[in-house]
Amino acid sequence: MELGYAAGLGLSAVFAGVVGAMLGLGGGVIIVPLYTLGFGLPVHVAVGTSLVAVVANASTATTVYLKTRLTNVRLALILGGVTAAGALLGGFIGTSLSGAWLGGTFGALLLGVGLIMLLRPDRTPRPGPALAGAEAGGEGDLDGSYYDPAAGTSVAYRPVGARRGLTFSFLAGTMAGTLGIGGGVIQVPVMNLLLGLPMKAATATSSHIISLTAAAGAVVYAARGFVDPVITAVTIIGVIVGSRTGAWLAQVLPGAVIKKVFAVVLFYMALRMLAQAFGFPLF
Amino acid sequence: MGVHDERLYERLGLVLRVGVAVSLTLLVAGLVVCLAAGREREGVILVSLGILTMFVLPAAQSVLALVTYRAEGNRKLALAALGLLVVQVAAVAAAVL
Repeated sequence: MELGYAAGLGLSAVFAGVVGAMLGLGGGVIIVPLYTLGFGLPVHVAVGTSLVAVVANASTATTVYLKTRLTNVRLALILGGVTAAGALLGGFIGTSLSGAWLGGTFGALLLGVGLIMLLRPDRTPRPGPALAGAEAGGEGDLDGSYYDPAAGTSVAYRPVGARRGLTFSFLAGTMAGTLGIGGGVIQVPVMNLLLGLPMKAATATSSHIISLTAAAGAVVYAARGFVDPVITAVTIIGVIVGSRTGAWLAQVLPGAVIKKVFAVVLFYMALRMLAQAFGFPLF
Repeated sequence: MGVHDERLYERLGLVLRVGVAVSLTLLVAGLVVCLAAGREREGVILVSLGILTMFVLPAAQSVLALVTYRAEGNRKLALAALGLLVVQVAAVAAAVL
């Protein structure tokens, strides 16, 4: 591989990491269209590469979340088994689809994510979750607590309806394994809105679940020759550097404007991917 | 959060930190050998070992959780960790076979 080509991939991975962290999407949603449209990589290779980068990125983020006790390890274990099974199934689905169908499905996903970002530019954290589940008959052995420096107080909560979360976790894993994304797009809102976790705990626990499960889909892509070691190495390093930068930028830039701008970018990439997949002309 | 959980959080954090550091070191070294020194075969071997290390981390986390909750006598969570480990191992077997 030429040095210039590798540098181009690396810069794209940094960009994907920055944007992914700023939007809370993870890098996969950006990497796959960038690599297929910008570098002409086959969509299966882009998805396989993205999945391994997702494992690396989630593992790195989880080290921080474990230290601050934001992660609910018990809940991650309960939901992790079905998520991993879904990711494994997704790996087989993704590698069985033709390039056109996989690219087209990814284009449809981008359209959906872009639409959600436009319609819900600012996701409001669910307020006052402190032990809300206790009143609703929540599951006590999954209780969590952490110190929130922004609020200057400790937050305790009790998840409710972990069994309902299993179905959504399986779906999140399947989608992640098929399309090479983390699956946080589904896991975080489900844990926040359905299980009653505070937003920060939901994000951290989702990251931990991804670090435990995304490899199940990645190994399928790797075993079928869709993970190029050098491209993957460049991508992992780029995404990790980018996500650190993005997490910092997210705190200093206006979030609502960023989301609207990138929603438009996602729409553009979605149309390009759909056009490439199904062979219709695009301006 | 019990004493066992506190230990588990610390152990999981340690395993992930060491694992990610080892993996990233191998990846960077492999890229340098491959792209800068032009020794592609050796570089790819190092990079592949880095990726393999990343793949081992989820199973290592499951084993740690299984051992911790088994020692605690928490059958429900020990079973959850075992179930996760079974799926992780099955994924490798199913992908390779």
